[in-house]
Amino acid sequence: MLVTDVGEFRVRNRSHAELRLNLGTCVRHVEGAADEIRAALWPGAEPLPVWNPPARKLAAVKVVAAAVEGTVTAGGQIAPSVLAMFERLRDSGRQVVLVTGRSAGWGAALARYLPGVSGVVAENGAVLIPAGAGETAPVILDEAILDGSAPTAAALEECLAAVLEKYPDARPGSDNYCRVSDRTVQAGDGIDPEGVRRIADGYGLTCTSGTAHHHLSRSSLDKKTGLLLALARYLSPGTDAATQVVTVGDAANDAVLFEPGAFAAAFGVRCAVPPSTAPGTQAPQYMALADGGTGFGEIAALLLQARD
Amino acid sequence: MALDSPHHEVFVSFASRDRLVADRVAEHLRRGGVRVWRFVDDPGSGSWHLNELRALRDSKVAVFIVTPHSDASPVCLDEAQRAAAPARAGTVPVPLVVGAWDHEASDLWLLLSKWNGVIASPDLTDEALRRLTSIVQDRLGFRSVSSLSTGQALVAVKDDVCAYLAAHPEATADEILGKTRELQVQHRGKMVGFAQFTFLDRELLAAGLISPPQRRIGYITSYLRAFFDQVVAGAYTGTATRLAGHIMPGDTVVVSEYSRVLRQAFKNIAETDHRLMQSLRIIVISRTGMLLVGDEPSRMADELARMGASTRRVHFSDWADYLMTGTDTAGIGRVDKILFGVEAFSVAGDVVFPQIVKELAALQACRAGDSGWNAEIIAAGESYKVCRDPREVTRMISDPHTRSSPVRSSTCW
Repeated sequence: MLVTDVGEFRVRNRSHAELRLNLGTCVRHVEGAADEIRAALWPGAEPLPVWNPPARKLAAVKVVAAAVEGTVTAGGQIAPSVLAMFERLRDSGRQVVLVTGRSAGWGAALARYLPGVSGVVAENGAVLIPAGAGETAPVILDEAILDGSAPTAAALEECLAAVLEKYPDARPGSDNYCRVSDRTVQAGDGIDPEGVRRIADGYGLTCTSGTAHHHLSRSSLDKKTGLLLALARYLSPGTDAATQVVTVGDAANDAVLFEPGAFAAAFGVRCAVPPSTAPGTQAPQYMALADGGTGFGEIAALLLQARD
Repeated sequence: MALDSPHHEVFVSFASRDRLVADRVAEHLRRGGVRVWRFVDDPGSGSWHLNELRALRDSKVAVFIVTPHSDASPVCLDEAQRAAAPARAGTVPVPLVVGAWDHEASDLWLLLSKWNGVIASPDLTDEALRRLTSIVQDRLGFRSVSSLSTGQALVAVKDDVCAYLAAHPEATADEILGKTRELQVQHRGKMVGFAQFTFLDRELLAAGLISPPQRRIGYITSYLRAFFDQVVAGAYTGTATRLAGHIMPGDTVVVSEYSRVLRQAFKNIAETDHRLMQSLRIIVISRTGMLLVGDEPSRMADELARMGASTRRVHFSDWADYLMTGTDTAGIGRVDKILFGVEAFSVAGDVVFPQIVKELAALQACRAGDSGWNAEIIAAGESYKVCRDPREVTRMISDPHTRSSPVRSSTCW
């Protein structure tokens, strides 16, 4: 028998030739103590390392909502190990939902071909493409577009034209042809984000600017509100986002997914922009130690372990 | 040869062709305040070899200068065999390998490698002499860490790591881990990795998220201090409390490897149930090795007797005979509990010391061969002593006497 401060351990079945103890409880006890020490001492405003969420919190998670570019990808591709994690999460009873600013067309492809994914919220929260939906049209999440109270599609095209006229060097986004609720303009040095926003305001449109694109949208939803609507109405009705949904992102345009209290936990992969480099930007609560898909893998592994 | 002083502490074993090396070693030890048995050309009265063996017997530490010459010397080999014998209680061997040669193939190394020592290759430098002196001083109790428990030794390493971090605010994770390894060898020899006990490796990985480096170092320092305050400092009392609960009135208890936990468990019993303590018959196994120096077994027995128990010392050889052959020349009699304080475990329950591993194997054999053997084997250790990486423990339980695959203790629980 082994006696420790956290309990006694003894082999029950002595008939086996090789009798082993399982002292994993001791390791978990000390790990937990280290996590508590870290949470108390970690420098303020810095995301805690990925191991810090309590296991009981992770065990309650039903939905993993992840951004795409830079979060589940590495070098522009999704690695087989990440796809395997999607499947393992699904097999553990959880849903994987991708949340992206990419077009509905890209979202449809992701939803159709990626294993383990329940659905894709695309165009920064405006549309949902459920997995298994075949070639049906995407679901418009923003009721204002459906009931006609949102700016019209014609206004969107006029706004895009106005931006291109104002900034002659600007180029329209290459995937505008498969967008439903928005249009994009490629970001560039000669394009002032504030100037683009003012033009969009003039047409009643919303404007969000990222490192790659300026989005002109008929929808007032964002990644967070679109995700919550998609879950509540279509993918996982009854799920309590504050306790059963975790989010994973990598950049400032994912900051709405990191909003404190909105989700059970908000994770960033290693390159997630810390507040010190993006003033005013909400940082995730917890940070993976690796970039991109590898960092996502760390988070997924923790979730799977918590379930075990 | 003749004795320089009847109160010498250290014996130096060497081949005659290594005399100059031995002179340097002895001189360095003396400068460090150590009383060394002086070897002189005139053997004086009686057999010089007998005098030498008496000096070896009466020394607390024996430094063995391991060279191709001493490896070929029957006298040196005889002295090493005597010092390394499991039944020997008085002298702790400290090997000093000198020169660039295949010492691992030597018989002397085979006998002595499990004790902490110094490898001075290719030459015997001042740094090697300094390390040797430090080890000898530790063994003699010159420094407070010499006979520390694992937890106390960890505290000493922690304090030095924190001082290092304060002086090196730009240190990288690899440099910090390297420093901890160096410090733990300095304080305690080849103990299980400091990072395994403290999760420091994991924390350094996490601290990579913090910038700039000065903030990172500040965090690591505060983490280490908090870890010791909250995890290490009190864990042994919790273990001791649980252990005390397994001791029953009238038990005959064999203490095979004393530790702070075992001491605290008996103190708990003595303070809360003196009648239980008085009913115990405690047999302390007398041996040296790793942390046990000189007369520690007798001090343990005395301490337990002062607490109220009936105690006695039994030499390890008698205990081994009792276990392996059933011969009870020492009058051990019925045994109810066998207690070990253990330095570290793997997640699967392997323990680190070859001596204990062998003992556990013998106990298991007893169980297999004799259904009448009912003694309960209890190993005690704090939860932080369970290593996440099984290679740490495997490395420690490799038996230098067999020079083969690691001995496993897993069938003994």
